[in-house]
Amino acid sequence: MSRGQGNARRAPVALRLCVAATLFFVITPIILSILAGFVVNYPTGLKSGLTTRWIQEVWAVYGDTLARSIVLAFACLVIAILIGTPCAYALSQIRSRWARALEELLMMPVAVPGLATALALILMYGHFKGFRSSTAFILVGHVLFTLPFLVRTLIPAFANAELRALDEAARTLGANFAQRFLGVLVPAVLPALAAGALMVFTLSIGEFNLTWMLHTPLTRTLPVGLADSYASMRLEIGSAYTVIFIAVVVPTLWALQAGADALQRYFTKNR
Amino acid sequence: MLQPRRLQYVHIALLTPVATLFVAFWLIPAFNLILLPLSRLGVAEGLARYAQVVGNARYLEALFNTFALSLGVTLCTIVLSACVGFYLSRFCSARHRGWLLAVLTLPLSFPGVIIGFYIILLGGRQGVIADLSELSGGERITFAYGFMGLFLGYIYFSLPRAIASFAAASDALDKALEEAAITLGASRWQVLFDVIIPGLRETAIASAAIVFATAMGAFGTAFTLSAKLEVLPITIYNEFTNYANFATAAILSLLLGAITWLVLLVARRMTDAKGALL
Amino acid sequence: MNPDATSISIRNVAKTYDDGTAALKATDIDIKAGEIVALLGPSGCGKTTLLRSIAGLETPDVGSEILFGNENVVDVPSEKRHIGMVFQHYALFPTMNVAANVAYGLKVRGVAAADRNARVDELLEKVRLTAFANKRVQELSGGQRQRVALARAIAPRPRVLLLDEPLTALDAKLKESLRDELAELLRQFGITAIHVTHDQQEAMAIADRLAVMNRGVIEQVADARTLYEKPATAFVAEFLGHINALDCDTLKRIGVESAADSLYMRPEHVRVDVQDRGELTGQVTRIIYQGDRQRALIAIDGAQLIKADVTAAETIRVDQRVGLSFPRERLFALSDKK
Repeated sequence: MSRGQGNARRAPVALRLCVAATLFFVITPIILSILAGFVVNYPTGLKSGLTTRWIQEVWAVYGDTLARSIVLAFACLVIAILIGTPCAYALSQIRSRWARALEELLMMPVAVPGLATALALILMYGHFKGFRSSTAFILVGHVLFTLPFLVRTLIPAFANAELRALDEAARTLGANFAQRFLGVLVPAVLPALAAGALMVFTLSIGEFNLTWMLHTPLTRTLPVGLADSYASMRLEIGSAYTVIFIAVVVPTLWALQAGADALQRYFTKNR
Repeated sequence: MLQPRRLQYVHIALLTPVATLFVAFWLIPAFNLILLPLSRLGVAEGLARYAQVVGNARYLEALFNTFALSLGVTLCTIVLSACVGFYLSRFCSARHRGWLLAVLTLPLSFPGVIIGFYIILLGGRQGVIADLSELSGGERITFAYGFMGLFLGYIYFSLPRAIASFAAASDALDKALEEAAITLGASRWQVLFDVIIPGLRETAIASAAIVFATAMGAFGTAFTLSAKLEVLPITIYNEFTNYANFATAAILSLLLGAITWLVLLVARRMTDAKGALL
Repeated sequence: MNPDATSISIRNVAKTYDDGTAALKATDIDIKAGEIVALLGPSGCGKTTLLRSIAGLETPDVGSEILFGNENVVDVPSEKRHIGMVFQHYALFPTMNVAANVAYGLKVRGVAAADRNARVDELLEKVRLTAFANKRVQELSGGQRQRVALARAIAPRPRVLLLDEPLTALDAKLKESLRDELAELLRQFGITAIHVTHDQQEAMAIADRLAVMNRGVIEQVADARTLYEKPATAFVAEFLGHINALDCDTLKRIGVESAADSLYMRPEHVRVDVQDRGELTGQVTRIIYQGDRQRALIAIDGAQLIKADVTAAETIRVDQRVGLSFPRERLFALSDKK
C-alpha cells in the first residue's frame, strides 16, 4: 500500500473543504438523531431534560423487529454461504455459455429495483398463504438480493492462479474433490468469504425496498419498524429507534469487520 | 495454463442449488410479471394497457423525475467521493484515516428510511436548518419534502460505499506513474488529469453504475419523506397498494427494471473490471 | 532401491489444444525404476505439458499411453495415480503449518495419526526442518518452503516424483546449494523422478539422464556427457553451451574434407595463439571477461566470426591479431541444420 505519509504534502484547500463538508453532512444528522432520542421534547431541545422513556417505548412496541432482523440476517448469511460458495467455485472454473447465463441471472435482483422483484414474488407466490405470511418469504427476497454480492466477491478469489496450484498440489497428493474443496480451497479463500459475508449481513440488516412489500404485520423487520415509527410516531420515538438500530447494528458489523480484517492479516502476513 | 473447462457433473451439482433458487424465485416470477397484464386483462386489453402505461404523461413524468434525479445524484456522489477517497488515501496520516473512514462509512448499513428521517431532521419542519434560518432572522427554510430532500438523501445513501471504493482504488494507484509524469515535467494539474483521473476511471464507472441503479430503485428514502416530487418506485407502490392496480404496477416495474438494467449493461461494457460488482 | 519406485513408459503421448496448437507431438520415452530424468528445454518446448500429462493434470490426446510399470494410467485421475509433485511456486497450503502440509497426502488417504506423525518427523529430519514443524509456511524462506514441498510430495511414498521447475523461483546462490541438496536427497530416496527445468546446469547436477526438448519434440535423450560431446542435433548442441559452425569455406582453408555443409566445434576447444601462429589468423573484435575465462570473438580474415575461449590469465585485447587451430578430434557433425 502506498500512502503518502513520508512526504506528507498538505491537501489543496478546496479538497480539504470538500472533505470537511462531506464529513459534516454525514455526521450532523447522526448526532441530531442521537440527541433527539434522549431529550424529553425535541422542539424545546436540551433544556427540556434527558430521558430514556422513548427508548423504553420503542423496546415495548418494536422489540420483536430487532431479534427478527438479526435472525433473518444470520439465516440469510448461512444460506448464502452454503449455496453461494460452491456456485462461485463452479462459475470460476467453467466458461460455458450456461454458466455465463447463470452469472447474468444472478445479477438481476441487484440490477433490477427491489420493488420490481418484490412485486414479481408477491404476484407469483402471494397466494400460498402460509409461505406469504412467514418470515421465510422475506428470507427468500434477502437471499436473492444479497447472494450476488457474495458470489461476485468469491469468483476472483477462486479464479486465482495460486489457488489453482494449491488444488493441483492437493490432487497429486491424492485428495478427492470434497477433500480439496473443504480442506484446501475454502480455507484459502476465507478472507474473501469473510468480506462477502460481511456484505451479505450488512445488506440484509438494512434491506427495505423488498422487505416493505414482502412483510406482514407479524413479520416486521428493523427497517420496516423504523419506517412505521417515522410515519406514525412522534419524532423522539423515531429518533430513539434509530439510536437502537445504530447501537445494535454498528457494533455487530464492526465486530464482523474486525474478524474479517484479522483473517486477512493472518493470510497476508509474511507472504 | 488456463484452458476452458467444459461443464462437468461436479460443476452442475455445485450450481444446482443457486440455479434452482434463482429460476424459481426470480426468473419465473419475472416472466409471470411480464405476462401478468395479458393474463389478468386478456391479450388485447393487456397489450392496450402496456401502450397506455408507456404513453401516460403522469407516469412518464415520474420516470423522467426518477431518471434526472438519479443522474444528478450519481454525478455529485462520484465527484464528492472521488475527492474524499483520494484525500483519505494520499493526504491523511494512517491514524486519521482510520477514524475518518470509519465515520464516513458508518451509514453503510443504514436503510433508506433512516436516511429519509435524517433529511427530515436536517431540512424538515422541525429541522435544524429551519431553526437556524429563523434564528438568523429569516423565515423557516424547509427543503426535505421536495427535489432537494430526495437529492441530498440519495447522495447520503450512496456516499459511504463510493468513498470506500475510491479510497481503495486510490491506494491501488501506481505511484511510479505519477513520479514518471513529474520527472517528465508535468505540473500537478497535468498529473491529475493525465494520470490520476484515468487511473480512477474504472472505479468511477463501476461506482456510478451501482449508485445510479440504487437511486433508480430507491424507495425507503422517498417513502419516509413522502415527497411532493413523485418518483417511479413510489408510483408503483401506490398503484399496487392503494389502487390494487396490479397490471399497471407490473408494467411500471418492468419499465423501471429494464431501464436500470440497460444503463448497467452499458456501464459494464465500458469497463473490463471483472471483479467489479456489476 | 526404493521398493515403491516404478518404471515409466511414455508411448505416443501428444497434446493438442482446442485451438489446434500442438504443445506436445507424439512422444516416447522410457524411464527405469529409480532413475532421475530431466526434461530440459526452453519455455514452450512442451516439457511442462509432458510432466503435467504424467501427473494427470493435463489430458493428453486420445491414443496416448502412460505406463506406470505395466499399468496404463492415462485415464486415471490425478488423485488416484499415487504420484508426488513439487511445484515451481511451492503451492504449500497457507492454512496449514509445516507439519500439516507434509502430513496432508497421508491424511487424505486415511493413514492413522501415529503412523502419519512418525513419517512426518522422519521426512522433516531428512530436509533439516524438524525445528520448523509447527511454523506457518508464510514464515519460511523460499528455500525452506521448497524443502517442505519436497517432503510433502515424498511423504505418501509415491510411485514417481515429478518436479516442475522446482528451483526457478529461488535466487542464484540459494539455487545452487539447494540443487546439490536435492540431487543428494533424491538419490537417498531412490525414487523414480522426472524433473522439468530450463536450466542446463540444474539438469546436469540432478538428473541421471537428460531429455532435451524443443517445439514439442524430444530431440535427444542421453547422459550429460554424451549430450555435450556428441549432440544429435544443432538445437541440443546450442542449448547445452555454445558452438561454432565452421562453414565449408573455413573448412576448405584448414584442409578438412566433409560431406556435410558445416562441421561444429565448441569455443573451449578452439585453440588461440596470441603469437599469431595457427592454421588460420584473425583479429579479435570483442572480449567478454567471464571470471574463470575469457571468451574472444575473432574475425577470421575475409571469413566468418569464431567464438573461442582463452584462460583468464592470458593477455589478449581487442584488435590484436591471433592464430587459430582446430583440433580434428573435437570437430563433430550434426544430423540437421538449425
